[in-house]
This record gives sequence, structure tokens and C-alpha cells, in this order.
Amino acid sequence: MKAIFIIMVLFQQISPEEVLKKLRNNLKYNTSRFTAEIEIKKGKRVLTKSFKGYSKGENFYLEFTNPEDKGVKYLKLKGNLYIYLPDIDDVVRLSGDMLKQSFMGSDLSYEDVMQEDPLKYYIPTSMRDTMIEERKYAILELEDTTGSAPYYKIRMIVDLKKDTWLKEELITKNGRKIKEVEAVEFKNLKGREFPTQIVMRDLRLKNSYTKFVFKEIELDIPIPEKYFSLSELKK
Amino acid sequence: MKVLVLIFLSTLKFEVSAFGLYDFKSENFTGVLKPSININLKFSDFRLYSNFGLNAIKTEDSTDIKSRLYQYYLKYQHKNFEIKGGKILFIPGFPGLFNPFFYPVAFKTIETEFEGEKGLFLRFINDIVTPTFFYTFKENTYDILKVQLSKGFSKFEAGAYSEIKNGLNIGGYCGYFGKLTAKMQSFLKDSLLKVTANVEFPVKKTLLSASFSHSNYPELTIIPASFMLTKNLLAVEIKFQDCIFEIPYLLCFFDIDNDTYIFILDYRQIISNNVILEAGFTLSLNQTKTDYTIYGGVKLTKGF
Repeated sequence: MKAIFIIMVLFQQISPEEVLKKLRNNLKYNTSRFTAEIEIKKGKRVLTKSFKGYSKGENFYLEFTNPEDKGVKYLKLKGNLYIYLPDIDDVVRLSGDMLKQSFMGSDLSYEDVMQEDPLKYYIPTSMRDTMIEERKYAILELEDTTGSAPYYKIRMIVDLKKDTWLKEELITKNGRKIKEVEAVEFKNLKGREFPTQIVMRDLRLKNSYTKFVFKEIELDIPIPEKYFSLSELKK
Repeated sequence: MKVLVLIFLSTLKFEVSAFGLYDFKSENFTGVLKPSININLKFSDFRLYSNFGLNAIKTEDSTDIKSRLYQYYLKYQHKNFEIKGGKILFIPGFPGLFNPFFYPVAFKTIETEFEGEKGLFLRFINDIVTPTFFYTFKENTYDILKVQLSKGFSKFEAGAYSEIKNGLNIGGYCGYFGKLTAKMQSFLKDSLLKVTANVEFPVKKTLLSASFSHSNYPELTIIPASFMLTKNLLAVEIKFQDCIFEIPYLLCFFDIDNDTYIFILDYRQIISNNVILEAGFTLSLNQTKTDYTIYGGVKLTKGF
């Protein structure tokens, strides 16, 4: 009888794999439309850029809207990155590897910003409970098994009730914690809690952060195909 | 209402760059002050673009002030079809160092402005092949028809380019865009041949780029305060991708024919969206002489 009770309790305990699956489902989307702002702070200086964009699967379209950069556009199409420069009214093709480079010099890469399923490279290695302000959360540790993820290990604080993460620590293969990401604001989008304000800190730099704010965001809505074309980029 | 829509879809940008350069060998100072206005009006499928300003150059002997119209054009684009007329900038092939189809400024500072050519431009973006036609007309010289055909593949891009005036000048280009980027371009113009190759790849947090240019005639390459007139030129560029506020940049040339090395160390500091500072140093070395210059400036931008 006691054994049956223990087995029942074990089955009630959600597994790390199940937590990761729910997290991925909550953050995964096929299409998006957004307006956003990025604030990059290093020392006393702050640089703010605003942009709007659309994404569909692995493709995305991005257009800067702040007056100084207005008209600069990016398009990721079939694994390639294109940039439209209004000064020369033409499109320059960049290598797909440029997607791993810093987005506007911030702590995020183009792939980080536009990744439709950033946790797909990872499997869970451990999970334990933790209490924050008298609420129960889980600490989930993930490891990259594909060799394709930008960070080897992620340690995250997960809200099991909302199937979302509050904080991530990004760790290298030799165990060094290099970045911290904190979701500071969420928005309920079609029944799911989606992080709309994220602060990333590169722990190797003093007094520096990148704040990414979605001013407006809509997920899984019809997006016209025209945005993912070179002719739209030149318009 | 239409006026409001037009204003909403437009960009107005004021820029002022002040730039100074000192050549230690000739002990010459050159100062440049360049205020300019950039207007970009969009309405439906039409766009009106113009970039103009004043260009004041001060040397120890003279002061020269000219008004400059860098570009202006009216563009109509409907789906994949594009037509524009005015003073237009067209860079065939791949932009960058040693482009054989375009003019020879190898390094841009904050005060460098590209200037277009008067003409009529037509392009039809197509999956099979994208044709571009640019008919240029200049006073006291021949009209030129420039034609480019380009085709993009998933990892490759290739094209052919020609200039038709009295005779036919032809060229071609191809590029691979994968883990690294490799590009080749060539142009045969009035029996003068120029071939260029470029490889670009990331190394940790930098982007390393090596370029080679060969021509069967002495070709001019312009850099701040100097120029190179040579048939064979090698260049190595180092860009620091993760930098945003402080952007260091290193460009080294090796003039194989004249056994000369030229180094450019450039440093830009972004104070804000509106203010960029630039400072740089060029060093030219060969067996008989050493020459060096320093330069620096500020660019102020205000956009609406």
C-alpha cells in the first residue's frame, strides 16, 4: 500500500522533461508582429534604438524607426541575412554566420532576438525546488546536446504555474557564468505568459546591460508573405 | 490629410561633420566642414530622396566652399518593378574594398559621402534572374548604359555586368555566403582588366577579411590623405563586431609592386544616436620613406 502511495506521488511530480516541454510550448510561436525598443547601457552611456518587425518560422523582417536610423532594414530569408541601406538604396547580403553576431552591439545576437524556439538545443539535467518571496519555483538546469546552442548550459528559475522562466544564467562549458537574463515584465498573449521586457547582463562587463522591450507584440497571426521578400526590403 | 500622411512617412535628417587631417611629411593641414540635409519622402509606391549640402575645404593655401548635390531621385516601385530617375548611386557587384565596377575609395570616414550619377534606373527583381539597367548621361562626355544581371542561390550569388558606350565592357562576379564569405569580381574595360578576390570569416569576436586586387594597369586606390597606384594590392581588414560605443578598426595594405605597407587604425566613439567621434592614424612604410598622418572629426546628426 505504501509503495503504491509513493509511486502515485512520484507520478504527480512533474518531470524536468515535462517542464522543459511546457516552457518551449509557452514560448514557441510560428509568426509574430512587434514594435520594440532596445536600450544598451555601458558605463554612463545609454543608446536607445527602436524598430518594428515581423517573423515567420525562421525568417524575419526588421525595420528601424528611430529618426537617426530610420529606413535601415534587415531581412533573414532562407538562412541568409540581408541589410537594406537607405543611403545607397540597395540591399547588401551578409553571411548567415552574421546572425550569431551582436544585435546592434548589444548582449543579444540576431538569433537570440528572433529565435522562435531558443530552448530546442537543450535537455534537462536536474531540477530542484526553491522559494522566492514565499512562493515556490523550480530551478531547472539544461545542457546543450547538439553543439549548436550559443551557451553550453542554462540554469533557470521557472514558474511552474505559468510555464515561464523568470531568470536565466548562461554558463560556458568550463562552468563559468557569463550572462544573466531576467524577464521583468510579462504579457498574457492568448492565454500564455510571454516575457515582454527582458534585461540581459554580461557579467564580464561592469555597469552594463541590454534591455529589450516589446512595446507591442502579437503572436501566431497571419503575416503577409510580402515582408519576406527582397522587393519589400527595397521599398 | 495627404500632407499629414506624407509627413508621417518621411525622414528628415540634418548632419554636420567637421573633420581635420594633418600630414606630418608635408606638414599640411586639411580641414573639412560638411553640413548636409537628407530628405526621404514616401507616399504609396513613390519615394523622393535627396541628399545635399555644403562642402567647405580649408587648406593652408586656400579655402574652397561648394554646394553639393550628392543624390536626388524620384522612385516608383510596384512589387518587383522599380524605376527611378535623377542623380542615382548604383554600386554593381558586391560593395566593399576593391570593387572593380565602382570608384576607388577604399576607406570611408565619417565625412565621406557617395555621389550619384545623373540617369534613369530600372530593375525587375525576379527569381530566375534580376536585370538592372542604368542609363547615365553626363555633359561633355558619352552616355553609358550599365546593365547587370544577377542571380541568388541559397548560399551563392552570381552576376554579369556590362557598360555599353562606344564599345562593350564586360565583367562578372560570384560569391559564396556560408560559414565564411568568399567573393570574386572582375571587369574588362577598354582592354584594362581588374580582378579582385575577398575572403571574410569570423575569428572569435572579430571579423577578419583578406582582399586581393590584380589589374594589368596601374590602378588607383584612395585612402585618407593618400593613394596607391599599383597593379597588385593585398589588404587585411579587422572589424570588431561586438563593439558599439567604441569601434576600433584596422586596415593594412601591402602594395606588392612598390613594396609599400600602409596601415590605417581608425577609432570611432558613439556618444549617442546623434554624436559620433572619429580619430585615426595612417602609416605608410617602404624602404626609402616613412609617412604618417593623423585625422579626426565629429559628426552630429539630428533626425525627425
